[in-house]
Amino acid sequence: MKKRSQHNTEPAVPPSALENPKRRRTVNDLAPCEQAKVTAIHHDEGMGQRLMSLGLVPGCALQFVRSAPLGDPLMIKIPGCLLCLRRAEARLVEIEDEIAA
Amino acid sequence: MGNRRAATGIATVALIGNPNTGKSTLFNRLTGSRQRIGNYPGVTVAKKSGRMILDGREINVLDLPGSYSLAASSPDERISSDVLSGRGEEIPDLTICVVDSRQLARSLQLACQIADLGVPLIIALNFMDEVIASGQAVNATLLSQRLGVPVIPISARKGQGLDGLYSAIGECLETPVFLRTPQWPEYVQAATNVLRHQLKTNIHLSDAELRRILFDHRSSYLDLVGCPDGERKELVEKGRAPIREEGADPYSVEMVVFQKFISELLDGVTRADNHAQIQMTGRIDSILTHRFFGLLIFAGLMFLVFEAIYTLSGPAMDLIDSLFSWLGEVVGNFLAPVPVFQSLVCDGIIAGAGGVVVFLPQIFLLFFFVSLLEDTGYMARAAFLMDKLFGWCGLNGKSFVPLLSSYACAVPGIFATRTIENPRARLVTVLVAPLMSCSARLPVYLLLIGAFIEPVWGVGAASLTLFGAQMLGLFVALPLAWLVNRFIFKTPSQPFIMEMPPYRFPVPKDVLWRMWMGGKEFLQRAGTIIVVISVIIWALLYFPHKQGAHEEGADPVVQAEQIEQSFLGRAGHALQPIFAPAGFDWKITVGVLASFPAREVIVSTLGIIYRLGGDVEDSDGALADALRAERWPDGPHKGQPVFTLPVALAIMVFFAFCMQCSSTLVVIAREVGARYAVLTFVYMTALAWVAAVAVYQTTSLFL
Repeated sequence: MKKRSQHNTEPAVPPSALENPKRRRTVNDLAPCEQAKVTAIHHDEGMGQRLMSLGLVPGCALQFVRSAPLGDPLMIKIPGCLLCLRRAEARLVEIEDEIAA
Repeated sequence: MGNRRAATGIATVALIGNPNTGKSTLFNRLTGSRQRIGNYPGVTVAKKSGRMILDGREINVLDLPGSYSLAASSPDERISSDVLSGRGEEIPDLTICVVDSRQLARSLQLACQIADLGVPLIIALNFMDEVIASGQAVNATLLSQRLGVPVIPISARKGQGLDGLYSAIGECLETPVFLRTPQWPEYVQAATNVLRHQLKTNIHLSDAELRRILFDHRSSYLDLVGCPDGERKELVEKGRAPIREEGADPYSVEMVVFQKFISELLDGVTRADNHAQIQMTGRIDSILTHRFFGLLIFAGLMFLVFEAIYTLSGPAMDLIDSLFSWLGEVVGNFLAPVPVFQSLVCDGIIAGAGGVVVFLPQIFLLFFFVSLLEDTGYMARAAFLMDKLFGWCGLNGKSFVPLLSSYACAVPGIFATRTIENPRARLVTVLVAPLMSCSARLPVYLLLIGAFIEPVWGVGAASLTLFGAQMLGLFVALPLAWLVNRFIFKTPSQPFIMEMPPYRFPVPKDVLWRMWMGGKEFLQRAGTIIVVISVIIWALLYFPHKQGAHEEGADPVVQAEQIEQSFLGRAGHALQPIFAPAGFDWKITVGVLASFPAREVIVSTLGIIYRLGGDVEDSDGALADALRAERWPDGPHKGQPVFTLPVALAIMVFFAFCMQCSSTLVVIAREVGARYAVLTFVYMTALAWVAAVAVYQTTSLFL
């Protein structure tokens, strides 16, 4: 399923990113204690589903807590729980600054 | 759904919920001591079952693995979806969904998925005591009205609200209740019909089961159809066309529908959150997962755990040891008229049983610490801290828990790998888990360290050597895992997502319970086989029998000749040249051979070989003295001690790596396939020989 239809809500690269590359930020771009809002979860063989079942859904507020001593994985806070995920998965979580939202 | 209990007459109630919702605590509350751990050795592994009595009627309780979703991305979640779909061995008449009152929105997603399958369901709102204590509230009555099923506030930990739960179970077993489910958009219904048409199968799949396949093409429901792996996604994608045409995303449409449904449900129901708890957890985390202090505390804790096991288990082991010696003497006097029988009972059976029971103090302590680390929430922090160390070799932080459990015994460790979602990471964890220094290796370490390290370098060096021996397997396991992933499986990267549970005080009863079960399972599973093997080894040493060798006060020379001409002695002689490069004499070779079915027999075997009887202990000075006194009778080293430091080290290294455990092999074969059991046996045995030779040859140059 490499070819994706135009109105697919989760394209591999969101159209907004093509227009303005600066807008596409992910959890990886956050600094410790920085807060943001989840805008989209990208899919990678069920990984998106897994993230959503843990409560990481579009619209959810998120705070980057810290990275592990060796730089990876990351600890993030969403309402009600703390999650641990690697940078490879954090890449799938697209965010925007809370102020901008 | 019909009446499912007609077949057996006993109703089955299944417990399900997100991880860390206190599900297991509730299970223990409901079943009390009537619990039976049914996770060995069949296929229905990761689910526990027990019995509860309700109004004088017996009810079967299933404890399903904690899961976030029925999208079956791990073997554990697969078990849950199989059971709930009524395709498992035990079909539940009622499901109790245990939810965290402070995380209702997320917890109810799973309840919605279960309800969608048409399974009768009630909801247990756990942690209500903490909600009330923090001045918050959940309106269970309103939630119950909206969902159409009983919603029972409970505290599993304190045992509150259980009466309400009991009566709800009783009522709902009589009259099944079903949770209100969300309306699916029309395009989802359309997709379901397309998929049904595409599958062309005789097996009837309900709409709900087809939806599970639509939302997750790796779903276990697709296995029922027998769809080849390569065609799955393409086939399901055809069914997804109506969803995509509508501009919706098939992967997230389910969550979007549920979230909307749940947020409407919860409007005005809850003012509870775990904000305060998360904040406290955050404060503790800022130390325990700190870049520097976190690692320091982690290393300190691990060292303390092993130090505690080493020092605390000693006195208890001595006591058990003297108890069995006394028993051997008493029974021995009684059986003296029949020497063969006396020898069989004393040197074979009682010695073998003693060799099993003496493990209990260590196993209890290990299970105690592992439960404590898990129940407080620290285990997840350990996984967080350690993930980078495991990640590079294709494992992940979650491998840490099974690998640490393997320090008690590889058998539960291999079961614990079921929590690893990624099949590759799981398989590799299974393959290297037996390298972890299980408690059965302790006796040989303790014996050799006590005999050759402690007298020369003192207690500090002894502890350090033990720590090193315990870590050896781990240090070899990781590069090995990397090699396997890099060159055999060729897998690029592995995902790792985990919830960090809030810190909690452990429930002492639960910790003690797991400790008790650990010891009990060890006795049941390993115990019998060890006694049987002790008897076999005794027979191989007793026959062919030399006259007078086993009589009271027999000539030591005759005794020595007896061992040398016994079946095992002959085998040891024949195979000794293979082990000669590692510095092993034929007696050590005999011990090694006897240890292949279960390595814990080594000490009692050496005890028999050195004519101390099988009931010697590693803490017993007699065996250590015998080892130190042993001299080469002939050959280039004639008259020199057999047990030099290089030999002692080579034996320890050999035992660290060798696959000398039949129970572990059986479990590996059952969990991931017989060929991996064979692979594990071959690679570990080869590794052990190479390492033992290398250690002996190099240390001989310096020591």
